[in-house]
Amino acid sequence: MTSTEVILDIKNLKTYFYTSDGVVAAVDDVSFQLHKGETLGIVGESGCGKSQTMLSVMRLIQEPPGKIVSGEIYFHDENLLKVPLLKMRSLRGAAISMIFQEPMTSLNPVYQVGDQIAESLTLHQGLRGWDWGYRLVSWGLFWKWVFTGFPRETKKRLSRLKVETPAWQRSVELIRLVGIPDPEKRVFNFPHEMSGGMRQRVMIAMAMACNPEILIADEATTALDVTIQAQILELMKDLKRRFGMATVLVTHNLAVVAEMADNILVMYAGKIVEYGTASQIFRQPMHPYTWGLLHSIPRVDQPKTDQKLPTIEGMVPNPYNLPVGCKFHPRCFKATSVCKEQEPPLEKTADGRQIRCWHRITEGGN
Amino acid sequence: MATKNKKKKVTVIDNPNEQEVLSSSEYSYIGMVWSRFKRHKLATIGLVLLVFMALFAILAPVFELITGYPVGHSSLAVKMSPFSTPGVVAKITHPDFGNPEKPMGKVDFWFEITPDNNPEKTGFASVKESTFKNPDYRGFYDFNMKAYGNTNVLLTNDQVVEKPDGSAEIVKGGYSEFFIERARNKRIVVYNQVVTYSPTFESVDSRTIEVQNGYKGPREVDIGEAPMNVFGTDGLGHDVLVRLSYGARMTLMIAFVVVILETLMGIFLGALAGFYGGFIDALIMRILELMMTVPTLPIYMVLSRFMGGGSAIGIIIILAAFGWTGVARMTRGMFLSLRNQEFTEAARAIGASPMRIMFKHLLPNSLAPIIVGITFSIGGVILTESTLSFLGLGVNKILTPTWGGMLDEANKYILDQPWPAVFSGFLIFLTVLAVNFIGDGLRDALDPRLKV
Repeated sequence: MTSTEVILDIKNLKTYFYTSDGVVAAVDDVSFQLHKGETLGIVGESGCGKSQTMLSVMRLIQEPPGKIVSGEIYFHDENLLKVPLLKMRSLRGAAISMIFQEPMTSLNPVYQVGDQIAESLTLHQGLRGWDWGYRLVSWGLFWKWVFTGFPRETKKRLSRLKVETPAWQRSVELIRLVGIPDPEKRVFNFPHEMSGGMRQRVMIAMAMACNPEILIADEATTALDVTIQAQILELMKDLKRRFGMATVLVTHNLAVVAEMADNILVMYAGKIVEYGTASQIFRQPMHPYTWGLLHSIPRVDQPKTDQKLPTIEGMVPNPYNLPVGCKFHPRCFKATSVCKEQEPPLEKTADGRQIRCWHRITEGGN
Repeated sequence: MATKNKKKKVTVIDNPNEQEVLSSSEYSYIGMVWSRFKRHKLATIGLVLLVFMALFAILAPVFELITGYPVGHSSLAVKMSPFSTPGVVAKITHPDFGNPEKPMGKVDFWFEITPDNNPEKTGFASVKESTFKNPDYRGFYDFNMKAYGNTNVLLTNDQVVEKPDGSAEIVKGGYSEFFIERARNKRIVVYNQVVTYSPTFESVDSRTIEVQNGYKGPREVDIGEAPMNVFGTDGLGHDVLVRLSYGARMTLMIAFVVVILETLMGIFLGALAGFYGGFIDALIMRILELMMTVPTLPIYMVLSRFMGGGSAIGIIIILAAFGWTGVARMTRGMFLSLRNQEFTEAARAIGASPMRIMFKHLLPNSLAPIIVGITFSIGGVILTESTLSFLGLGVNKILTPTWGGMLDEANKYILDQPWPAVFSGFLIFLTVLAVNFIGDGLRDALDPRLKV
């Protein structure tokens, strides 16, 4: 599934936020590669910088507080941090697109979903999404409605006028693709008339509209209930299989990652702490943090015990005041004096994994 | 048709299965707003009133035609009919006029030459100063009407004839026609000699002459076959109905143009400030605060002197220049809250430009409070314009009446003739009330928390 062609190459990315309380290193020296057709899961607690990493790729970090301090993000051979804003704008949504966390609020409430899907098509592919006839007739019909009442048949005829534009045709197609029933009617719905799952599907349709090479799903399934989540994941898998785009799943849900990802990136306090293939990480986590994450999930496939479910003690460190040495050491059960003094480097192992720890968990031992 | 509409609505609402169909396919957002608006009784009344005002304004030339009273012309024309006896046309109302025990002193003298595209014939003359070429016809007009407005009027049929050397001479009784307004477009060199008696204005300048032969004592008033004045005539003898409907034109036109201008300006600046924040926001907000802290009335008074003194465009520019602050603040507030919404981020993520995000994504979302705000500001603009006109700083009220200007005129005769003041004041009141009702209705109708 994973080809060797590197599509996104992030080198030493640093994104800092300069607030009145101090500087927050949201993304601190992050480097990784994304291959064509690969699914990468980025895992971590809230505030560990996983979303900010992907927002940096899109260059959607809000400035003034935020700033991409240094680093390089190569999309094919282009450094995204160096390309002019106009070029970046033409890449967003077309080559790299993003699905956001909140399906409830990520759609503009004043437009029909068809309009919103058509928008990125009109922006990037130049498809016509409006129709003078539609505008004129709808304006006329509005006044007719004001004075006489609105005949249903006319409105239907009117809808047909709009849906015949190329961008709307494609919108209908996309809505059908993401598995919303009755797409010819659903394109005319406003976001508030759809359920959360449907809206998420619309979001996916918007992101898919221009056949992007990279699809970033920023906690795309977090707000949904489990059945819908499963449907959405299945849909994303299916789309990936069909169109072969690289996918980045930003989530704190390990089950989603286990289901979907080829490779997994674990982040803690703005840094990569572990990187490896999904099977490596799930079979044998080497970093205590990853170990903690995986073992704090109740397992159904293991015998019932009376022991408490293990947790990671403590809290996420204050971003303004990160601990010296290894950022994880106050919460780490393997911490020694070395961890308090020196930050471990990100080391590569023989089988291609990357670990940032002084005391790796080796096979079998805790 | 209306009953049919109602029936359909009821059936749709009764059937819960059709609820979804109802909200999107059958009713657009505007449609929902309209149906809510219609349920607001006062707002509907306000809308009807406003439509009535608009019709009233549109029909102004019709009123002018029916009554035969021109809107901005001299009262001489108004007080006369084509059939009245020459020289006995004006209504003499001042109690002292013609009282031998109270000598009149100085008396204004003026006459008018038609602006018949011949610059030589345009202007005015006085007996003492000979012909006075005045290129600014309106200025001349102003002056005369000022003195004239406070005086009683007597008409004679003396004719003023220009001599080749530029001076003028009165030819006694040479002319007996009084078709002033009707002859306006014809080549008439001189209309009539008008003698005005000015008890209140002392600042009668060099154009004042002593009456030598003009005044022969009070005469009979002969209205002749003058048409009926439904709302009476004002102190200058204009028909109040005609003036009111032309006033509606001017007042409503000014109000709407000002509101449109200030809305465009306010939305643009507020959007920039709210969307970009930072330095741009600070700059625009400081300018805005400056605009809001400066006492506007004195500024209006000073500026209206500069802005062409009585042109509608000047007043519009002044009012719009100071009126955009409210809309700008509202827009900025809405944009500040909306720019952090997820859908803004989503719009950025599909590659929309800032302008597109601002005006295609954020503006429609913040339009509801802005529409309500600008509806209320229409009332405010009408009142401000009336105030300015009342203070004599508005549009030239003789040529182009406004309701505020009519109040000002009427104020001079308010004890004798209260009705022009009553009518114009009532119309101002009614329009502002109507607009505020509409604003109330819109506020309720646009509120998304209320269900259909």
